[in-house]
Amino acid sequence: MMQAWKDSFYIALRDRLAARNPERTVRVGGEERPAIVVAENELVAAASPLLECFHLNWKQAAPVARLADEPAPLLQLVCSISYATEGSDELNAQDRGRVLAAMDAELLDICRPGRTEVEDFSSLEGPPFAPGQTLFWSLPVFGEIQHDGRRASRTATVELFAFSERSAG
Amino acid sequence: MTTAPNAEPINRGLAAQRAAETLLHTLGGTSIYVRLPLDSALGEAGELGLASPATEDVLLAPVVVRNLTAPKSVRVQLELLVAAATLARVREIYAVGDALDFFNNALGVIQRGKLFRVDSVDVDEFSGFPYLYRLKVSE
Repeated sequence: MMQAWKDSFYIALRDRLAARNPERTVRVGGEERPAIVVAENELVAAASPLLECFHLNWKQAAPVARLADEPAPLLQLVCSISYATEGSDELNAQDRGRVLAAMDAELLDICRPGRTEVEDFSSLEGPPFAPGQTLFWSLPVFGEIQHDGRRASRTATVELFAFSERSAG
Repeated sequence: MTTAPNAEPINRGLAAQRAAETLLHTLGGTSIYVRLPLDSALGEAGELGLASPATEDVLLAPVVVRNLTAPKSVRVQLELLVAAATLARVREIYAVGDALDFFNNALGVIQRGKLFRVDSVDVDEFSGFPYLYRLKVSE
């Protein structure tokens, strides 16, 4: 079930990014797609992370303490979203702060509203199965900008919540 | 009157490229396969990690393999020496940037049937010509 939450979150953000800024695309494996990737779903190569692309990294998952004893406990997942830029050659990278600010704004926009229907994408055939759950999340908390030479990067954190299904029996 | 460009550095660079490949042969060069993903439109299934692209294994020889595994380490680390001339012959790769893309986009290197991940790639150049690539790979 947790996989369905992760997939649903990614798909929601991907579709919102495509609508918010259709120009923000990235080429992966010869295929052009919205510039947002789930790190754990991508091929493992030595190449450095893609620039001007949102990278979703899944972190800890745990029941919310006060609701852990409920029949369907509320679970919390943490997702860190990293992105970086080296600015443009035309402006000799002096616009890297502006590019990063634009990405901050896009991330804030695509995270609102902070909810989506959970869909199970695990079957390659047919439409995704919707178990009738809602996944909801907090607004992103933006970390400090990191500067590494020409590269400026930032990591934001989003907390997601959903009720786990009752176990059978 | 125009002055002819000095061909000396170019000749030395080309000589270094040929010498590197010959040296690797002499040192008993073996062969490796570099595994590359093929461009393929996998769509949503690829984005969700439900499908993987087809791959191509590119044979490179001669290659010299040096064992860098630290004592008591369970993780095998190797250094692979590949001549720039080999890359030019096998894949028509001449520029350093193209060579780095080639190795950095690889899913791994197969040596004696084992898949190793590429950790880093260093380039040795002479007179502006790359003549040797040093790959550090690990299990």
